[in-house]
Amino acid sequence: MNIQASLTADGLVFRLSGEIDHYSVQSAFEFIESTLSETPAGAVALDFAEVSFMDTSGLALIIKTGKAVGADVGGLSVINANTRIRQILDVAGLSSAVLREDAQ
Amino acid sequence: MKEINKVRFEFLSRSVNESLARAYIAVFCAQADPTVDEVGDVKTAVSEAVTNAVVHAYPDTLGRVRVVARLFDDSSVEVVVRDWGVGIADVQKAREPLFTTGDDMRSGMGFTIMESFCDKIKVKSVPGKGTTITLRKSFSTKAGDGAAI
Repeated sequence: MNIQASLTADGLVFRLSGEIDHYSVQSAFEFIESTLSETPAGAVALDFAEVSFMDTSGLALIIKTGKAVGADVGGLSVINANTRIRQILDVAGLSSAVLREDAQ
Repeated sequence: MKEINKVRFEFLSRSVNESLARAYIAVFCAQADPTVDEVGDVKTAVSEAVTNAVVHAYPDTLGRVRVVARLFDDSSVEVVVRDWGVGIADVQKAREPLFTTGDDMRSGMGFTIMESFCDKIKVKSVPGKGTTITLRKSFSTKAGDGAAI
């Protein structure tokens, strides 16, 4: 899995690509955590447009990132999640908390 | 219901092997001509079962994880993921959504996702002896298909 960060007008966006599983999430979160520590507080989005696979390890990544971002600074959004990822978020009851309409 | 093909593969409980198991199962299931979504369902469920073995079965060492997959003539697949590790003390508790004995990179939703994406799952475990997870999924038969090659 690959992860890249960019600062946009809407806030900090982490673009994930490839497969999100137990093997890849730890290093992904370490990158997210260190980037957050170097970036001014604001809205954060996880962009799943290029994610080809995700299991529940991705849920842990979303939850942990959400906690790191905190609820009081615009919060965390999950964008461009495909049907399967939305399904997993639904099962976990996270959809309404983090899912946003697809954005560029 | 007649078995039409069977594969068995083993690997060590290294996390890097999770994607290997997914890919192997996806290619095997393709023999039954499932939809992309159906293969995705099985891949995700297998990923959860294999990850459980990788994370929990052998706490301070590496051990064997075996996957046996069978295809049947009714377009269904059965995947059995087995380890010989520490086992699950309370299977019912383990299957509760959000319950995990792992760290905070584990969501505790693995069994729930397996149940959501498969038609049937069975979990057998004996503490100290290991755990066997059996997943079953039926693929839709496509009406009006011509002869498959």
